[in-house]
Amino acid sequence: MAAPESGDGNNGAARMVTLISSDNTRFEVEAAAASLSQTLQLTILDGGGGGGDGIPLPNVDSATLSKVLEYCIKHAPAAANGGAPNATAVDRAELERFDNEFVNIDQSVLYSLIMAAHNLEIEGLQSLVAKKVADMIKGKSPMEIRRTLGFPDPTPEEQAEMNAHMLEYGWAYE
Amino acid sequence: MDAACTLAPPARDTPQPVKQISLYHCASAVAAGGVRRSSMPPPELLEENYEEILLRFPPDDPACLFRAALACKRWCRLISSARFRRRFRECHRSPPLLGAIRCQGTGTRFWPASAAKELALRRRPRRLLRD
Repeated sequence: MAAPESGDGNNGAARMVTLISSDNTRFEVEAAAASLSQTLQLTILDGGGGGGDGIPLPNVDSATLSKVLEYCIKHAPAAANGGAPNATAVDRAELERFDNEFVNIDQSVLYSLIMAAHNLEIEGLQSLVAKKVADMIKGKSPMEIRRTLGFPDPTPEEQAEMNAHMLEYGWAYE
Repeated sequence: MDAACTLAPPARDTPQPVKQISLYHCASAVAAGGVRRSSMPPPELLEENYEEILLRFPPDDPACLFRAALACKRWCRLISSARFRRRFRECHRSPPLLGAIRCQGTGTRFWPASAAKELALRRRPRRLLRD
């Protein structure tokens, strides 16, 4: 069997791979974009995901996968240039603008994205989303953090512990 | 290997409609998904996901980490662990400045980092606390 080119896109049309979300939606995307995922990269290098076969992703639903792929498609050219050392300031500013808009989304979508990025080992996406969630909670008090992230209310024991801490480290609760 | 990439056979043999990805398609699909999900509670994150979030706290204001550690016991254990402290240093290249101890005539007082910045401008602290 002739081994396909490893998705560099330098032999005419770029190689495409098919990804199948948990709700059985098939997504066809360039191998170079999907290869931003470290786990998918190994499968793609082995020739998987092409033709009629797809790569099943049982932990990622279609809405999340399409968002993940939106990020991968945008960042694939820069990643192909080895971290884009030759990228112009305009390119970098454009990517930065894209990233800022990309994470301006509902909290539940952010959570789905961070889980998908962790599962698929997409370092850049994981870092981007984690930074966004960190920014959402970094200036808040412990109780505000709990409310922001949807944690259940503290038990009476936990509340008593927090009150004791508050006496000692009041500045942390300001 | 991660479960997300398990090479299980497709659930159905019948061909599924293929979506050709384009930026337009992605934007519209996510917009639809966002509307659908807006009423759903956020999914439960794993410990590793929370670790990635806490690692991105600003190193120049470790009070943020302190507050986060007080938010719940799980985070307190996570932030106190040697693994987290090592990763935090690697992530930010320098150990976080926790604060300064200022010796005064009447005794000593701990100044947290954000206040210590102002203190350092006025007086030289006797000792700095690092991680």
